[in-house]
Amino acid sequence: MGYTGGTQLNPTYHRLGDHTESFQIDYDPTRISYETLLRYFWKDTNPTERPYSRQYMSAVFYESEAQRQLALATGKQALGGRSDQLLTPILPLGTFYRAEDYHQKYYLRRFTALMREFAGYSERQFEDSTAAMWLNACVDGHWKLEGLEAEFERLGLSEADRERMRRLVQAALAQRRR
Amino acid sequence: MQPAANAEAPLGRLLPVDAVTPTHVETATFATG
Repeated sequence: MGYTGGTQLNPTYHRLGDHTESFQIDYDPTRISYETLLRYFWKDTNPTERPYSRQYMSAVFYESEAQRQLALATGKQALGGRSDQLLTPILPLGTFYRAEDYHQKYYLRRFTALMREFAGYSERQFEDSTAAMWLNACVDGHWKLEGLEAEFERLGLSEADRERMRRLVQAALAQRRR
Repeated sequence: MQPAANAEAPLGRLLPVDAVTPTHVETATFATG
């Protein structure tokens, strides 16, 4: 999570200036393409909606001409043949400022037992952690537990550790439902 | 003497997951309102 798109130097949540709250994904292009990521983005974004505010607008920040062209092409496809204008800003990426620690993996941070699994990680390691990314998505209901387990198995977590993670996530989901 | 059972998670149990590093990573940046 972070802030970008504006001119204010070193923005913070309470001194955001003209930046936009945004997020940056590190991805392996041999497993998922930029175009696929864009298609997920457009599923959640109405391309005909005028931005509500600079802080909370939806936007694509491109890093290359190839990214810009793909963002435009997929945005136009998201219009679905309508003659409306594509109003979602597609902007060049400037400096991406990391948000404060408490904004990183926001949902996961509520669950003390799960957070204990990251004892020994620095804040930066935690922020960049693939495990934390999956868990954050899972405890907020965006990823199923079965999917999480499959990823953890693929990435080499032992069966005993996977079983422990299953119990911890189930407890977190039960707590969330209350 | 038997080592005490450690009820607390030891350091870095999830490290195997995070130790898997793709050889090539790209970045994508979005804002979703």
